Amino acid sequence: MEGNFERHGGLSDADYQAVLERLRTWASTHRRQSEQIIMIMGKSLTPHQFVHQIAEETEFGRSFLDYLRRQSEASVQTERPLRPQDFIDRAIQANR
Amino acid sequence: MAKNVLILATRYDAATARTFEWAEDLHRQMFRFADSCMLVDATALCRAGSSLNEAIQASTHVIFYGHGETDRWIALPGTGASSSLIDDQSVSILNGRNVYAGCCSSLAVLGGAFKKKCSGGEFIGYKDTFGFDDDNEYEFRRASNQSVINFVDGTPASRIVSDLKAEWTSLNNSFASGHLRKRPNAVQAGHLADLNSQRIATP
Repeated sequence: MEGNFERHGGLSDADYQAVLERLRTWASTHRRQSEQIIMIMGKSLTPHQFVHQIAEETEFGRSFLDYLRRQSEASVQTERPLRPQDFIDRAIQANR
Repeated sequence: MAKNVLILATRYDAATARTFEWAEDLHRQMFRFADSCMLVDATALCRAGSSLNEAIQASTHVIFYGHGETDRWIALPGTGASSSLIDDQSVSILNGRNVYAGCCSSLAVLGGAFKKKCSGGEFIGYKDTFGFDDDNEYEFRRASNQSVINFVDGTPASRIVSDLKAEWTSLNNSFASGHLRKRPNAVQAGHLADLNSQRIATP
């Protein structure tokens, strides 16, 4: 995977911990938690395996954190700025 | 000029079972755009046999949906040259064909070998992993299959790549902050669409 992503994808320690905590909730409440749902052709992941990628800060995990940081920064220009963890909260809500 | 499309697809795990469905969907749609279209389960093909060569020689466009590595398309699960469908050593079999690789990573070495050893055709692929979220696979299927159809319909590879980059970016924006933001796994799907947009290319 290309890219040299920063530690935590550039997120602060506090935001990283908040994202990780919410991702664990997302995985444990997912209706397909034991199924492979994240299809990276050659390395498909269950929700828990996805969280493991973030917790271990693999290259893929860091790319996701970097993505969250960029999306959060882009939202500052809008009427409703979002913290990185807010995107995960939305995913948790979608599981309900 | 006749357009004869060969779709090669594998199905031996969760991801390829899904992309095989994409291939079946593409096969049904393709009759409106091509003179002929064959869908072949590539798991049964061996590069040492004649079936693959005969199917490719009868085609003008070759589409692959399955797993890939930098230097090859994979026909069978496992590792090693024996599981390859086509690799950088056998790439000449694609000479003169327009090729679309709907798999991970094969742009770099296999696509590079195609550019060096083959003439009269174009190659489109991904320079690193290609991904999708299964709960939102329809959105990824639609974007990918439409780009294949446009390629067969005569759009140059460079335009296909720029269009698909824009489509993956649009899909990312829809999942991150647009009308798809409340879908299950929307943020994960947006991330994968964003990665796809960075990786689709020609050699």
